Amino acid sequence: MPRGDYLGEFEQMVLLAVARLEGEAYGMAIVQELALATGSEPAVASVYAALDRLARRHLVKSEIGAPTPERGGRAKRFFSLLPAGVDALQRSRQVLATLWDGLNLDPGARA
Amino acid sequence: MSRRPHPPKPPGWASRLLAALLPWQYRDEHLGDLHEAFLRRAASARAARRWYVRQVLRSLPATLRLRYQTRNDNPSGIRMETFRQDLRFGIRALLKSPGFAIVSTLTLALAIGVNTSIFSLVSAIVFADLPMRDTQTVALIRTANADLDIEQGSVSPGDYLDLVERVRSFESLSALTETQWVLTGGDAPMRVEGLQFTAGLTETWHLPPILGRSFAAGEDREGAPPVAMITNGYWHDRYGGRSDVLGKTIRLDGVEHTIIGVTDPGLEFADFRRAQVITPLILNHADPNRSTRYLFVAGRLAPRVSQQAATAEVDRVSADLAREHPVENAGWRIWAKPMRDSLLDKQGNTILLFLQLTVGMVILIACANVANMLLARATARAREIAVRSALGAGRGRLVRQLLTESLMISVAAAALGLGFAWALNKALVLISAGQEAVFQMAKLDGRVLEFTLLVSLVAPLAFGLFPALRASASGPEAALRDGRSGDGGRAGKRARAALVTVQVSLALTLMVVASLLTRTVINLQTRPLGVDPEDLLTVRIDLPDAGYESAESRRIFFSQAQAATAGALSSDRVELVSALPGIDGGRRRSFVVEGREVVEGRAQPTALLVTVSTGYFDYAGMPVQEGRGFAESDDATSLPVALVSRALADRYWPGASPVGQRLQVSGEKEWIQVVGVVSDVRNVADTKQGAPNIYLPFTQDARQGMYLVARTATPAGLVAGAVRSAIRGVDADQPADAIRTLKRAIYENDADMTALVTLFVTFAVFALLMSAIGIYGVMSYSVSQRQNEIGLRMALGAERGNVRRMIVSQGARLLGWGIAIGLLASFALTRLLANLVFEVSTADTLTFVGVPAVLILVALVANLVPARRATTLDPAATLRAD
Repeated sequence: MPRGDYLGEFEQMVLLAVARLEGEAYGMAIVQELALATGSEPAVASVYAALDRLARRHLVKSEIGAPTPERGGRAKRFFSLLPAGVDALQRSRQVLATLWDGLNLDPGARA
Repeated sequence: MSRRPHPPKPPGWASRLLAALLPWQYRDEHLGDLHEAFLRRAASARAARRWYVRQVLRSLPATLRLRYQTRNDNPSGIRMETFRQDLRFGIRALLKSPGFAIVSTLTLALAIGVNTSIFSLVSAIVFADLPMRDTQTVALIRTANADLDIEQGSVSPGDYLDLVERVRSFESLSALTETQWVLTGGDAPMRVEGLQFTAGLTETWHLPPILGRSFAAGEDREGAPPVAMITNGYWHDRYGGRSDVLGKTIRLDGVEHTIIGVTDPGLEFADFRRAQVITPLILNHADPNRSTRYLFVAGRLAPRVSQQAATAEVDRVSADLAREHPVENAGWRIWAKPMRDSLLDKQGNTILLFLQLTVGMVILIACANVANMLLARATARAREIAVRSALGAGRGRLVRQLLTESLMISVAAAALGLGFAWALNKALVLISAGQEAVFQMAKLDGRVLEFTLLVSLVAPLAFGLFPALRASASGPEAALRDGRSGDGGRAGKRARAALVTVQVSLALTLMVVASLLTRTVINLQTRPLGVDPEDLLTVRIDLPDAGYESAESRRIFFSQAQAATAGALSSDRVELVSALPGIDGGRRRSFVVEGREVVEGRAQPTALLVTVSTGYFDYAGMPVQEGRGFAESDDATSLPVALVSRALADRYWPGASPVGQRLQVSGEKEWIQVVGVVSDVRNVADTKQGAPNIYLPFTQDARQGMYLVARTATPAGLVAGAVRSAIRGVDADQPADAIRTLKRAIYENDADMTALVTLFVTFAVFALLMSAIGIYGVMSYSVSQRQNEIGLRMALGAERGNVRRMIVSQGARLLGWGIAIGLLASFALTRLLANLVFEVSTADTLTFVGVPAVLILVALVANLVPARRATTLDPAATLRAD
C-alpha cells in the first residue's frame, strides 16, 4: 500500500484541529488549537505545509474569507474537512485502535 | 492598555523575509495570521516582536518545504495558463493605446531591421561560405609591404615556385589568378571572365570537379595541349547543363581549348563568382617573374602540421627569399595565416566593427526610447496597476505581466524588422550599383534569423524590465489615493532623465563617426581629378595574344580603331590611355633612378605606369609643366622616353628638374629618359599623396589593353552601338567594353564607398531623430506633470519668458550631460578610425563642434515645443482641473 493512504501524526493532529474548529479553522486558530493540545506552538508555515499536502490529497478544502484590519488588510483562508478527510481520520483511528488492542505497555518497559 | 496614536507594527525585515520566501498561494493568509496574533500580543510590544521574529524564523524550513510542495506539485499548466492570461491581457492593454503600440513597435522594428540587415552583411563576410572545403587545414599565403602600406598583397610567380620547392608544412600549394579572354566562334565576339589555376588547385581546395576532370600535372607547362574547365554557372547558362560538353572545344583569344571538366558550384564565391572559364596557369619555371605580384596562393596543411608551424616556416622562407633577391623582394614579406583570419585586412575589419557598433547603438537608442515611453505609460497606468495589486497580484506577477507586453511589442517589431531588413538588403544592392559583391552575399539565413530572435528576446529586458520594476514598486494605496502622484516621483523622473542622457550621448557618438566618414568620402571624391570627366567617353579594348604578338600589329590595330571610332562619333580626335584617372589601380611597378643607390631592405620607389598616345595630354587637358610632351618622333626606333607626374618629380627630385634624368623600370633592361613633367591626376589607390605616375608613349610601348577616349556631347548609350561596329570593322573578333563617360565610370567605381557612407549617415540621422523624440517625450511629459505648478506660477505673475526659460534650461541640462559623455566616448572611439579617414583629423574641429551644434539645435526645438505649450496654458483652467 502506498504510504499516501495513511496520515502522518502531525497531519492527523491538523485534521482533527480543523474538525474541532467547525468552520472557524484558519491558520492561527489551528495553531492555537494545537498549542492547547500539545503545550507547544507549531510554526504557522508547517501547519500550512501540512494543509497544502492534505488539500492535494483532497482531504480538506479551503476558501478565502474577507480581509480584516487587524490582519493588516489580509484575508483569512478557512479550511474544512472533505468526506475523504473524515474517512481518512476514521481509518487512522481504527488502525491505531487495532494496534493498541490487547497491548499493555508498562510505563518503564521501553527497550 | 495605553492609548497609542498608531498600532505597533511587526518588524518589517521579518515580514519581508517571510513574504519573499512564501509561495504566493499562502503568502497573504500566512502574513495575516501572524499579524493578527502579533496585535493580540501587542500589550507588550517587545514581547510581541520577539514572538513574531521567533515565529518567522521557525517557519523558514516549512516555507521552503511549502515552496517545494507547491512548485513540485503545480502542473506547468498553471504557469502556461498564467502566460496565456498575460498574453490576452497584454493584447487588450496594447489595443487600448494603439498610438503607443504603433510608435514603439515601429521604433523597434526600424532598429531591429537595420541590425538584422547589417548583421546579415557581417555574417556573410565573417562566416562566408568559403570556396574551399575543410578550411581549418587551409592557409592563405599573402605578401605585405610596410613601406607601400600593403597588408594583403599577391605573390609573385618566382616566390610561389620557391615556396612550392622549399616549404614542407603543406601537402600541396596552388595558385590562381584572374583573367579575361575574348571568346569567338559564336555570333559576335564576347568577353569571358576567367581564372587560371595551377594543376592540383581543386585538390588543394578539396573541390573536385562535378563532371570530367581537373588539370593534370604537366598541363600547366608551356607547350601542353590547350585545355579548359568551365564553371558550374557557365555550364548551365551556355550548355544547359548537358554532360556531352566534355570534349567540346571553346575558342579563347583565338586558340581552341578542349573542355575537360565542370567545377563545383562552391567555387563561385565573392570575387570569383563572375568567372566562366578556367585554364591552366602556365608559369615560366626557368626564369620566373619576381617583380610582378598577381597570384592568389593557398596551401593545404600536411597531416599533423599546425597552422603555427606553417606560419613560422613561411616566415623563414620569406626571410631567405628577401636575402636572395634583394632588389625584387626588398621591403616585401610573405606571410601565411589560417584562411578565416586572413580574409579581411585591418581596414575591412575596422569597417565591419564600426558598422556593427553603429547598429548596436541604434538599437540601444531605440530601446531607450521605448523604455521612456513605457515609463511615461506606467504613470498613466498607475491606477490600473494599483487596482490589480490591491486585488492580490503580487509584484512578480505584475512585472511578468508588464514584461509580457514588452515581449509582444518586441516580437511584433522583430517580424516587421525582418521585412525591413529584407528591403534594406535589396536597396543596398541597388545603391551599390551592382558593384559590390558583398552586398549580394548578404542573406537572411538561419544564423541571421537566430540573431534577430535573440535581439527580440533580449530587447524587452533592456527596455521593459526597469519600467516594469518601477511601475510595480509603488504601493497600491498611494496610487489609488492620487492618480497623478503615482509616477514613482523623483526616482522615476531621474530614470527618464538618465535614459535621455544616454540617448543623446549615443546619438552624438554615431553622428561623429558618420561625419568623419562623410568628410573622408567627400575629400576622396573631390580630390582634383586632373582631367574633366564630364563628356569624356571611354571605350576599353583588350587585344588577345593570338594575332597580336608583335608591337607593330597592335599599333596598327589601335591607330585604325582610333580613326574608326572618330568616324563613328564624328569627333575630330580619339586618343589612347592605358589607365583612367580615378578608376584604375593599373600597373604599379618599382623603378630605379640612375645614379641613386638602391638601399638594402628599403622598398624601391614605385609608380603607376601609364601608356598614352602622343596627343593625350593636350586632349585631356593636362598641361606639360616642364620639358616637353610626347612627339611623333618618339617612336620604336628612337630612344625610350617618359614623362613623370608632378608628384613623382617633387618626391624624387625635390628642388631639381628631372628632365634629362634616366630611370629604369624593374624587370626591364632599358634606361628611359625623362623628357618632361606633366600635371597630377588622381589615382584610385592613392589616398595619402598625389599620384606618382610615369607616362610612356604608345608608340614605344604598344600595349594590348588600352582605352579609347573621345570628347563627345552625345550620351554613351546612344553611341555604343556605332562604336562597337566601328571596332568590329577593324577586327571582327574584337569586342569593345565599358562604353561610358569617365564621370559615370568614377561614379560606379565609388559606389560601394558611397553606399557605406550612406548607411552611416542614415543611421546617424535616425539616431538624431530618435533622441530628439526622446527629449521631446521627457520634456512634454514633465510639462504635463507640472501643469499645476506652472499654472500657479503664472497665476502669481510669473513671466511667460521666465517659465519657458525654466523648462528649456531643464532640458538643456540633460542635453549638456549627454553631449559631455558623448564627446568623451567619441574621442575614445574615433582613435580606431585613424587609418580609415582621409585628410580629416580624428579630432576634427568641424566635426567636434558642428555635430554637437546640430544636436543642440534639434534638441532645443524638441524642447521648445513643450515649453511653448506650457506657457500657452490657461492658468485658471489648469488650476481648476485639479
